[in-house]
Amino acid sequence: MTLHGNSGKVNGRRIGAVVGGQLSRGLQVRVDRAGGTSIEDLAVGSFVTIQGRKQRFFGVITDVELRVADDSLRHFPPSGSADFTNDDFIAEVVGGTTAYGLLSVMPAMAAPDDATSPESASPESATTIPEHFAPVFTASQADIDAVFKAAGDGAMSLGEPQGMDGASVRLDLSALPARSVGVFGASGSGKTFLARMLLAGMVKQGEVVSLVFDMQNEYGWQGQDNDRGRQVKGLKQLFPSRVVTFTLDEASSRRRGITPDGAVRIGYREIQPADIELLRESLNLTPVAAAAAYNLERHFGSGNWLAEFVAKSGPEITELAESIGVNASALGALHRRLAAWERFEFLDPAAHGNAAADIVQHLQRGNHVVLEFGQYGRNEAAYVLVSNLLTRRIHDEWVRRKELADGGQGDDPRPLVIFIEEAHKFLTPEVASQTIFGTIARELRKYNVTLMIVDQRPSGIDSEVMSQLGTRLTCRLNDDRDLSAALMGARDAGQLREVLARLGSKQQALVFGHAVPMPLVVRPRDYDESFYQEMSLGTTGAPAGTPAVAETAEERMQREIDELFPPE
Amino acid sequence: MAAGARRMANPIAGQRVGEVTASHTERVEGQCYELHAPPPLGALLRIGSPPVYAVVRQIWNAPIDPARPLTPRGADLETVDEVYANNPQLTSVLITRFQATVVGYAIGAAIRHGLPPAPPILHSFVFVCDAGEIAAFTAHPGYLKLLTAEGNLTADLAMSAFLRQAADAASDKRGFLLRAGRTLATELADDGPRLRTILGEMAL
Repeated sequence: MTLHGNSGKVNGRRIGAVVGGQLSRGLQVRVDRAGGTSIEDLAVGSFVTIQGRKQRFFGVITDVELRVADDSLRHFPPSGSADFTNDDFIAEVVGGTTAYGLLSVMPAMAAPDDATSPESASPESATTIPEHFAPVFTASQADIDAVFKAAGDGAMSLGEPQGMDGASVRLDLSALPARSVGVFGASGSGKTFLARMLLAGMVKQGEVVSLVFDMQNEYGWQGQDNDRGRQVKGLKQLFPSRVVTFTLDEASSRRRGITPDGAVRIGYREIQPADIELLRESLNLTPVAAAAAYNLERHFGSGNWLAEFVAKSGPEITELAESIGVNASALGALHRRLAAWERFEFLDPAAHGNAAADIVQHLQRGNHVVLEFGQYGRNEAAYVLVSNLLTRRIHDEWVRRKELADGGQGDDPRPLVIFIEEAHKFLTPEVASQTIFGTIARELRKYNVTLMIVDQRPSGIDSEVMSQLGTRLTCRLNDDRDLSAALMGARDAGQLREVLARLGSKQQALVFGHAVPMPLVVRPRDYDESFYQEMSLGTTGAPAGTPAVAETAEERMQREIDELFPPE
Repeated sequence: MAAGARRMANPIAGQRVGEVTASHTERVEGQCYELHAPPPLGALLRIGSPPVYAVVRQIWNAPIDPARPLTPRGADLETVDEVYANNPQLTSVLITRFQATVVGYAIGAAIRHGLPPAPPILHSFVFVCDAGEIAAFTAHPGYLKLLTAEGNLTADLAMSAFLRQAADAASDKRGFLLRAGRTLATELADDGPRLRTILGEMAL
């Protein structure tokens, strides 16, 4: 290192030199072959450092290309010509000289690199680019640590950066829930494991509480690893004292040999016409039929309308249609759909309470709540209905407490992360403005509530909601529209697209946005014994079962009672 | 000439072969002491003192007196050897000349690639470098610049011959050829066909 060699930093292996480019479209880096570097070693998504004259840059390879300085090589490649007996030698000489590899590198971060100060300042977003011929190096663990400064209890090792065996990138778990999070990926790409890992990290870190709408029963007690045909530990097994499981389907829980901490019962009284409108697509209702619920509410009074309506039958419905001025066949269709809800055991015509009350109580105490859907996870209407209804109630409570706190009465409510799957079913552009999730996404963290959305079809999610997602972790997506949607609103979306399109079908994720200083491709760590160990370290260090969050004596007593006698 | 003969180790490495008859800063002409015993094409020559280094790029045999051109003498003979045996005066009136491209010079113990401040003086003695001198001279690829400057096929083939000899003198033959080839590839990036001719020849 003589050209720009005034740095005390230890650089990785030199892979090339900057030969052109611009900040908005990325740098062009000519690959040196002298150091034994082959373009085949340089995968898109890899993290590299660039030693400029005054700054040290951190970038990501976004594309790789083959170039020839001499066009005749394109027409008469060495091995294809019979004129020379030494084609192999010729190919070896021109490979890496007149025929060479070119990388596109997105300069993401930069830190002043001043020889006079032993400690360089921390990296910031790159606002310029390195000079011509600045050498480019593979990144080292020290470089990763300089950029991803996350350390200590607030950070979790997310996995191995692309192309860096044995290195590890840490994610700042306090920054993650500060904005809504999206985890995307085609089915089988590993997004569930990634999401479960993030949830576990948040539970361990303890600053936030989460409410998980567990559609496929993957997060509570245990999850399924289909590739290896084994069971993996859910949140409850990892954090028995901090995670509370509820179920909608006690029979399913019993069949699976799981004892949930409580069951959710929803009274007919709690269902509002707006819920029916959200379910219009899942229930396959016409707009007229869905809107009829409002007429019914006016007719029977709020609270009673659903019970009264489903109790009607046959000719009574036609009469009712006339008296409330709704098309009879539309009302009939609505009746058929709602009457079928009698099969939903979690719906209780007589219940008067607030289904969310228990959940709210646990959340306020600092417990994380997983709501398993049992067999109802396969019923889209049930999932959309329950998750919306509960979230609305809980959000109302958080808004109330936040406003009280703002008025000087009481503390801010605990930051809450609401976790939903299959979001494209109820955050479609048509209904996103009406659902509580759309509201939460838009109001950011105003009321200390954020979302964690896990989905395989980001293109089905309202673009306004997508653009509010602070941090995105994206596994392989196959559909072009999903690729574009997953990057929607992201800085450098154009440059990242190729990286995203090339992710491996498994075990790779592109992480970008609020919680990470720069985009990076990561091979998520294994969800295995060593992960379990790491998750349990903090809790074994403290007295058994003591949450990391501060709790009052009263809270502590209540928690201990709850642990001894799980609330129904 | 057969490839095998060209690969033969230089038979007169280290020997004095002739004297300078005309000299320029970039080119030296010389005459051999012995008819038909020139330094081979591509040989590295050390000329005079302080030494100037040059690479043989052309060799020709001719009568000493250009005013007395040769006439055929072997019409009734079986072999060319008989021609010389029957006409012993020929070895006195015929000579072998060579021309070499200057590639460097020495100042003290240091070897410089480039043109010397002055051409070697006339009658300077011409030596053929041995393997050790070739290896020392070609340790860095700066000599290639002057060899590629001429830019015609015969000069390029002479350069290829020189590189083959230098490769034989190097400790790592293939590594030497690759290094030299890659330097040439950068120098001749805009002329692919020429580069490939040279590469094809030098690796024979």
